[in-house]
Amino acid sequence: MDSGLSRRASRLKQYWRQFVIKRQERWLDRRAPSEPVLKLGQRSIFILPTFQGALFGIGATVVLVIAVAERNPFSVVLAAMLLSLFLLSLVLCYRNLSGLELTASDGNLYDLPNARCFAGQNAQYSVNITPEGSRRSHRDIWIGFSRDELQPISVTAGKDTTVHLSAVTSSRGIFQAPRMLLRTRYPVGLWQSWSRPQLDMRYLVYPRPIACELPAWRGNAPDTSQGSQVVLRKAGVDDFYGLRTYSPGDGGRRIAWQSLARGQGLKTKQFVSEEDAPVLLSLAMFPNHETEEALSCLSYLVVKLLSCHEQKVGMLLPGFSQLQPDKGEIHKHRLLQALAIWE
Amino acid sequence: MVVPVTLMAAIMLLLPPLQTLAWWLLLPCLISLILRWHIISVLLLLAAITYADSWWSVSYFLLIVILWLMRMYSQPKADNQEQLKSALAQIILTTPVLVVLLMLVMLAGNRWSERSESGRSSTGISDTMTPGSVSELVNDSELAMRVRFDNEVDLYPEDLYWRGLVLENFDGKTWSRSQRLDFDITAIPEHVAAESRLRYLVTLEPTQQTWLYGLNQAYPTRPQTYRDKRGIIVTSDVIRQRVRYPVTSIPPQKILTLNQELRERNLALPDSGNSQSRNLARRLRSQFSDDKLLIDAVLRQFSEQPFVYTLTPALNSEQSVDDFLFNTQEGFCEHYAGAMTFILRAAGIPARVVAGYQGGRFNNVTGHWRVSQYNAHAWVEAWLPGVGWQRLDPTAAIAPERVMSGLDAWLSTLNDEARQELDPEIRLRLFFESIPGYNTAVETLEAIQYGWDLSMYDNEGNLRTEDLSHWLDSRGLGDLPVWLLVFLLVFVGLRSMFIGRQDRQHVSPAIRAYRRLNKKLYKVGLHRKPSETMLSHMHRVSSVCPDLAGQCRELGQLLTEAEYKDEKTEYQKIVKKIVEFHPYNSTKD
Repeated sequence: MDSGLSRRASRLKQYWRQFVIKRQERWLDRRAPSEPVLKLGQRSIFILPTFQGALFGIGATVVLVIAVAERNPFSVVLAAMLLSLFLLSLVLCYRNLSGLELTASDGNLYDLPNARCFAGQNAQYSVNITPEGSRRSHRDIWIGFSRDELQPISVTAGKDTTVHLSAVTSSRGIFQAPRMLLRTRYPVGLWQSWSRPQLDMRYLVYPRPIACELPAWRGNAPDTSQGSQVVLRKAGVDDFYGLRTYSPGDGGRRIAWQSLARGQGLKTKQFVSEEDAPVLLSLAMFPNHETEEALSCLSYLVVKLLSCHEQKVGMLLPGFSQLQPDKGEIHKHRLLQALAIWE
Repeated sequence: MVVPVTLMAAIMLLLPPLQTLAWWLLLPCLISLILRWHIISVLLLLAAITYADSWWSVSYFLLIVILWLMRMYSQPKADNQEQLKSALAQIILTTPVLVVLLMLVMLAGNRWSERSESGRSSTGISDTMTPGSVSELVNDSELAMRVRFDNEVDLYPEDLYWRGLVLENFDGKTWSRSQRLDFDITAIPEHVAAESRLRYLVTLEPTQQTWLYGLNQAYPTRPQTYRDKRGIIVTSDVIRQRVRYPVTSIPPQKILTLNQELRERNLALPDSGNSQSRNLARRLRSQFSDDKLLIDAVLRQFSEQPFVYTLTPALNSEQSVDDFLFNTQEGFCEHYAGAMTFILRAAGIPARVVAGYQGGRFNNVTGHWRVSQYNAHAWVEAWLPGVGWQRLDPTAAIAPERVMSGLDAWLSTLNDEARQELDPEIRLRLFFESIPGYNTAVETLEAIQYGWDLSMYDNEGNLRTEDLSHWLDSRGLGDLPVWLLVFLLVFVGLRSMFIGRQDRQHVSPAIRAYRRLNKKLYKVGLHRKPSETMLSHMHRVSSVCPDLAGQCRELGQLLTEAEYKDEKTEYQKIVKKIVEFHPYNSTKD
């Protein structure tokens, strides 16, 4: 049955759900703002009976009323006991969450988070959970970023527990970890208490790399690219250059076995590769692309040129001071960071 | 998923002596507990709790509750010991809450019973009669009782005066019941001929009152039920559920003497008030010295003067009897009965008001009478020397069709104008009854309900489970239910094991083969470690047993390919290789 009406109804339902979720988020933001260290307490723990819990509570109440009406002391005691178990369960369920202290494991000391990844990859967070006091242990807690990917943990008394959570990043920039969901039905599933804490955990997300060719455009290239083509020789793998005496540590493939056979002693073959000219990347290299797409291409080029070709790469982004061509891991991350936070 | 089997077995062993305890609820409860149908088991447990009748049963229930708590323990993969610890901890922790709750219940219970003494909410006829108390029941078409006669006698609605209460005290406005009971423990007089004895079975709906209904002079057969000399049938318990009682009725017997106390009580009137009526009584008394003639004169007055029988009479003031007799002249049966009793008493004739039901509707399907709340009625009994208590119905003088063919017949004789004033509920009822076929349908439904009630419930309104067990006992099958349920339990246990097997079948054949291999390796201490993949596991095995390295590598390769490659694999080959594989642990030796 895929009539227009049902489709419309489902769309309406979706709108409504979105609306409710948004309202909830706003309300939660006001009630439990994000913090680097969070202690679960009355403000952030919610509790409601589960379906079976509600049935149990109502049933116990009804039976209690019946027992009182029938003046059956045994039933009264039993029904009252069930009802008190129901109430006790509420307290136990709440206590199972309360007092837990959540800490984002790797704090962000600088303006920008240390943790980085490319858009579309999973941001890995680790959260430290500390129980209050030294005697209370917490069992059967499910934790995760969304209802569908919860993992069970238990926190033993007086010991920290670290949970590793991952969330999919969507776009470049600074990625704030979504609200966590802690849920427990301890001890017997009559109540469900949950909390939606938001820890101040951030990720720097680089633009998702999109494979592309380096455009021929060299408009803003530095002088070195035009003038005297100084060919720097550098140990490489491309061309045979000559032989030198063997030094320990040289790979077996590079040993010139022929010369050894000729009795010339152990020699090592030397290869060189011509170093390419430094490249200055710029957004203007991709005039036909949208900005985000262009950034993605740049991100790809940065990784490719720096990691695979070991070329010197610099970058010029509008509104940013020029990053001088350089190489190395740190420089790569500097470039990618610029791409990530460029507005 | 470790079932506390031993505990279950212990409970099973405990069961047979607890047969009186609602085993038909407890065993399904335990079964659903095993099957983890938690909601069902809870509901059954709650239902069974109302049957607890001793401290033994309480402790038994406690055991089940502990078991339930263990099964419901939310922590996955917890072992029995931990579950039991948690359950016991909860039971202990709950004690203070329980004490508080019980104290609250006791307090509330006290209040409750206090209130129920003074103003109990009851349906049907109450033990006081004020103007309007009967006519408000006319809106109520609910069932009051069902009666089935044993004898084949022709009965007419006008014969059926279901006596309930005798109201003797009058305070000028309200007729109320005298709380004095004068039990009559004599049996049915021998001289009453069998033909004039009426035997019938009454099924009374819960009234929340303590009296029953019967015809004329009624002798009920029911435990803890007594006859009063005035003909009231009193029970020692409040009728809280539907009860059934057989009655034998005989025509009113001649009573030649009326004791002084009773005479005074039935002549008593308030000291003042209603002077016009008193004058009328005095005038009638001077006219007629014979009681019978006087009564006839009163009844004649009702029928000759423009009295109106109506459900919506004008409101009476303080002088209710005077107002009714001389001003408004309209009322329902309680007005007429009250006024007539007043006049008779003022004229020196002992008289009393009787409240009950009159008539009923005959059901052609089963042949029983259905008496509804709107059959509520009030009439008069006067004591005549040489006769005894004589039933007098002033309503019959005003609106004979009300008595002859029932209230609805009388209602349908009303003109349109009068009908407009009726309650919408009554008008709806009348409308339905005018639809052809409606009455037949209702009668059939009613017959089915009555049959169901007769077959499923015993006289005290309980389910006939005891009858069933008696029936089974008489055939030497007393233990049958228990055996059936034991069988069911075993079946369910086996089935759950079977389901466990089926779950395993969802595992792919490659993994099953690997598990088999792993089991072999387990014996020599080379089983898979939690972090290992199949390949790395086999690699480790080959490093321990170098001469099996080839086999290991091959098996690892085959298994991995079988599991992860999207191709048809011949599992037989793999299994054969696994069978031929004989691992040993060289490091162990």
